Amino acid sequence: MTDLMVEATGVIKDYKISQGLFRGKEILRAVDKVSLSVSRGETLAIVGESGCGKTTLAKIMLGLLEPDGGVVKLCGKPLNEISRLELAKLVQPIFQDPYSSLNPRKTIGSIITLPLKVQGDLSPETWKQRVLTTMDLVGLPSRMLEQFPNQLSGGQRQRVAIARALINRPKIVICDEPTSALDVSVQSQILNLLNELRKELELTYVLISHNLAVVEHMATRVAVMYFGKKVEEAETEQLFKNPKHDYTKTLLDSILVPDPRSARKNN
Amino acid sequence: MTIEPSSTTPKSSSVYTRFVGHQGVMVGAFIVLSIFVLALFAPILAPHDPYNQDLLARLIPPVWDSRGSWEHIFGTDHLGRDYLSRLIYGARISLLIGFGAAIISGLIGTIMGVMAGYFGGRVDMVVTFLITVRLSMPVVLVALAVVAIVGGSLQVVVMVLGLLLWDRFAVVMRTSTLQIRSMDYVAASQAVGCSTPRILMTEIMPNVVNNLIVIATLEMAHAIILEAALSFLGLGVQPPLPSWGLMVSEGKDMMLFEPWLITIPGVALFLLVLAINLMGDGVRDITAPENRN
Repeated sequence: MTDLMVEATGVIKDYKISQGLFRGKEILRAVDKVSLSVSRGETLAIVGESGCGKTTLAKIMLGLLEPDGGVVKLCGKPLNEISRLELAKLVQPIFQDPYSSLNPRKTIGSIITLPLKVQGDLSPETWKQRVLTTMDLVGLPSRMLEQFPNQLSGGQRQRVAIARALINRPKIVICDEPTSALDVSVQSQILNLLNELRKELELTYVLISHNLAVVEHMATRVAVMYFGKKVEEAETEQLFKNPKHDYTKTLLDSILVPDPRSARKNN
Repeated sequence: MTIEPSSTTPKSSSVYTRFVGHQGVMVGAFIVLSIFVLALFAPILAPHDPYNQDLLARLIPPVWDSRGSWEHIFGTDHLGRDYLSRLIYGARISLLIGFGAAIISGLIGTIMGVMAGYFGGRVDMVVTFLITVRLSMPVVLVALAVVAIVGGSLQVVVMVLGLLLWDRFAVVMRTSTLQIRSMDYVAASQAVGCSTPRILMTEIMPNVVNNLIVIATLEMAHAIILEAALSFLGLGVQPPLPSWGLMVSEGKDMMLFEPWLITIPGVALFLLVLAINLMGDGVRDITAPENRN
């Protein structure tokens, strides 16, 4: 039996929308009783349209947002019982936009060193070596150590973000649209890198995306979200072949094929 | 992997070269530095004692006037005090008030604004309310009232201006913190396990500090002008201290026939305020990360 890395049961998140000073507040349920589980080494993709609660769910799993209901367990331990530093060692994010995920005032070196510094790592003399090893791991040349984010390309920035996420060797990585801000040619490089790293470091991924081609390439299992609810969950192959929920069907139909005429004939 | 040619030749021009290359900041810094040196070495540089009255040598015009002499380059005032010496000593007061008020109000405004922007919710409500309250009070009127009650002195003027001019700091710091707070690198540093003070100091502050510098220069200039106004109204720095505003005020009765009495300190004020503003603009240009290349 594979052990569960992420286990979310009935997670709820509400946003209160103020409608004016003397009017009541409307409640928007961004995440509605979502239950998920991810086993070790698996890549679970969460797909759905913009505003369906994918990112909110990711932030809850990262401990950046407090859920209004339900429990999230990481490695069998409830989130609110894990300390800030312990949590940081367990789960790390990779964000969508590498242009806003790196502090423009810091050098690449200090951005990647930060997790070591924060953890109060005992041997500062090894930091530089470990930073260089990690940079090498994600394919960044060591001369970028002293450069600033605005001197790097989008793909290189995303590699920096990956290096920062991986330097403390987390067990779970939550990728929130890791490639949607990148050029197509760079996208595949980053996706292949993520796949290789998963094997090499035995990572568990939660991949949030609305790009179904990315999902098909990366995921072992797919959860489909629609208006805050999880409407379907299945193995990737099964989902793409035999979608059950209407929304999933629409979603799959929206994939553009190179030759629509022949695709129609096949159906 | 492929490496873009641009990144192989990092043109990391240092802050120094960018500073030297920026005309506005060079002019501004030169003027401010000159006035600063004048203020610092006033006892050595001033040709006469600024308090020494000579009633026989009253209202001598400056040297470019046909009646002027090199003895008193900028002439003398209505009590026969050397105008150049008073101007040099006055620079001390203007700079002291400018820096003092900007530091006090900057501290108050930055703390309030950053807290409001970062924490949001109730904290933001309270700070926004305080800003609104402060904005609804006319600065000059309140300053006048306070100075009239407490009594005018250099310290009181610095304190009053410092406690009144934090509004723009708070407003600007709040909005720029709000903007930075929504950036992914703040979320990333939270996920990495940074404590809130650490995030404020290493992620938020470095990215809002250029706005802070710009506002600080604006408010410094504002405070210097307000001090001049207060002194002009007789409630700022008290005579015989030589403040530039006070010099304008004392000269206003003789404005028609001895116009240099107000033009000279007026031009000095104008130059100092202009130079500070030039410097602020330049510092913003230089420190912006977009311009690093």
